[in-house]
Amino acid sequence: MTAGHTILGGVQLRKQFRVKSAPATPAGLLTAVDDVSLEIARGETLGIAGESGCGKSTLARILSGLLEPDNGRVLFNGTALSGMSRAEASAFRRQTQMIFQDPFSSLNPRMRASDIIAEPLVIAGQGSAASRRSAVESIMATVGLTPQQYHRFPHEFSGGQRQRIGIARALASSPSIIIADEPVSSLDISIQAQIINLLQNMKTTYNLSLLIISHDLSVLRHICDRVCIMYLGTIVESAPAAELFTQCLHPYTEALIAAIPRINREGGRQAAILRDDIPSPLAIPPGCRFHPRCHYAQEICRNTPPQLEQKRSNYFAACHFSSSIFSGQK
Amino acid sequence: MPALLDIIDLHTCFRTPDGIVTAVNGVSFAINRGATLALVGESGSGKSMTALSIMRLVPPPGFIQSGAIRLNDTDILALSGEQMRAIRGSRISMVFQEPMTSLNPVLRIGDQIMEPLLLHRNMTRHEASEEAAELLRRVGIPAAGERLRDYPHQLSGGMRQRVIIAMALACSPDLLIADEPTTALDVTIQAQILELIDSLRQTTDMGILLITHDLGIVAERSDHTCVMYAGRIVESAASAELLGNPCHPYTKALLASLPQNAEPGKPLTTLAGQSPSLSANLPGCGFCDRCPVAQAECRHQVPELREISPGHFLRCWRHP
Repeated sequence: MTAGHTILGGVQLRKQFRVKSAPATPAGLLTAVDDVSLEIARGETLGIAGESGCGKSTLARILSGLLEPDNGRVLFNGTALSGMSRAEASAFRRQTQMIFQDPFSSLNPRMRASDIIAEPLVIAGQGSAASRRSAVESIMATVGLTPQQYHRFPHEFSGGQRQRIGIARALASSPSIIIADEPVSSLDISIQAQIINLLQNMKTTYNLSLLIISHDLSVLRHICDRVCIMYLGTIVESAPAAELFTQCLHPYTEALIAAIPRINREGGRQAAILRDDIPSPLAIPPGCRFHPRCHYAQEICRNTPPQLEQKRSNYFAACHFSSSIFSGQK
Repeated sequence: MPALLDIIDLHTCFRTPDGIVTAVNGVSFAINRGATLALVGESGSGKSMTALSIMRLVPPPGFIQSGAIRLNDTDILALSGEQMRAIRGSRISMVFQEPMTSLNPVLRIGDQIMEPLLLHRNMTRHEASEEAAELLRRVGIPAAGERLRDYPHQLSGGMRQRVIIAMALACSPDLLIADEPTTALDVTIQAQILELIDSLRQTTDMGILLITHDLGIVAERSDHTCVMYAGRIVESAASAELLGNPCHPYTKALLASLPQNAEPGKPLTTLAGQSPSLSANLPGCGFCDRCPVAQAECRHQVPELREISPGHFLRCWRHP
């Protein structure tokens, strides 16, 4: 995979939601994404990981144009989304497709598989009915669905097959980038492997870029070139996948990796189990956002937020003490 | 000493318009005090139905057709409804997957934790309230006394699961059934909850039936593992032995398909197809259609579960 130019990028993105007062939550501004910048190169697979509520899905929706950021810009092939002409915006929507987590609620139960897959083509006004039919048939074959399933409804498919329909729909308009929000987390292990392989094949066949959101770090390690770890709306670490898993530079990443249940764990758990829950995004801690849960936190962490800085070649982390904490590693 | 829980040849069936479907097909296993047995398998393999059978909560049109379930040498299938109610929530407790739906949203959590105490331990409301606060402290909820007045929606997913565990522990059960207790939680919270269940097992000496699909959890948290496929146990062994020396083609395929066992970027080993529909009532091994080493005999007769090495049981024709 040659890391070409940036296909999709975000510059200092921020998104806040106004929350109404409710018995459990006081009214206020919820900061879901705070000053996030990232770039996805052509042909690259970028993974975003973090606990629920860290803003990873909001970020995906901003990057796909479904949500408008309060601040910052989304750039597609160098052009800002907000400044696009109608034609450019329509091309952007065709070339950026999404795959969703729940294959049960992301397909219209009243539409046939063929109509679901053809819909992006119909909306884009591409081809005649006959040419669309042959296009849909060939896409169904590539994702591993049979011609007999052409007229079936979603309820006639299993979870894994529905996820294949979702992938086929995303591929229909020949996108250049696919954003997948937890594409395999609701599937059984044996089906999960099938879908991961399918995504990998599609990526190579169609020269796609992929943005994969997942809380499953072993999935991301397997398919991603690069992984960003998010915590409370910010990116705390961004690094090549292989390096991140062997020599991370942020205490949060260390704790996340240590929490994965392993079949072969050599020499016991590497780091202690993280305490407490993720704090409320309505009341983000001052200083480093991670400091209340961090085993290494010191005075400066309570007051001064660390910046995402280059720590090694192509390796970024936001921690005041990453060099001293992780110096023992090779 | 007899096992805490002993299940012998359990058959749980469902009456459907297409005939009788066997969801749990001749399952036997035993759990000792202080031990954790993991039940692994994909959706529809019968693991949750096995758990519900132990609680005698199989939803209609399902019913327990035959077999025996002994808890401390009492066959609970022979008990009356009233006797069973005295056991449920007291000698056997259950923790479900969904911390969002297994609490009553309109009752304060204190009242929900007090319910088993009032019912099974004949406490006064005052005693029960103090005991409930103590239980919340034991499961690691800060400011436990004040939390009793909270409603479920005021707590995070991890906190709710702690409340459910507190309820399950209220009467110091002999057996805790945990059905995918952490599937809905983040890995960091999952680690906290599993650690909590493990430490409670050590202090109370209860037995645990842990239902999960995560083989990493099996490796870290269980002593013995049974792998279920299409209603039957296909392999059963001490967890380290099972994961280190898997013998059933299904267990092997499950382990091989894990991203953490694969080289990054390389295609994962997959298992073609999907589990069979149970209503088909296939004559042979349930796995034969997806099995890479299946032969003619596999389609005609169900293999027996036999001991291939001490303590390691396997249901497969093809193993030498």
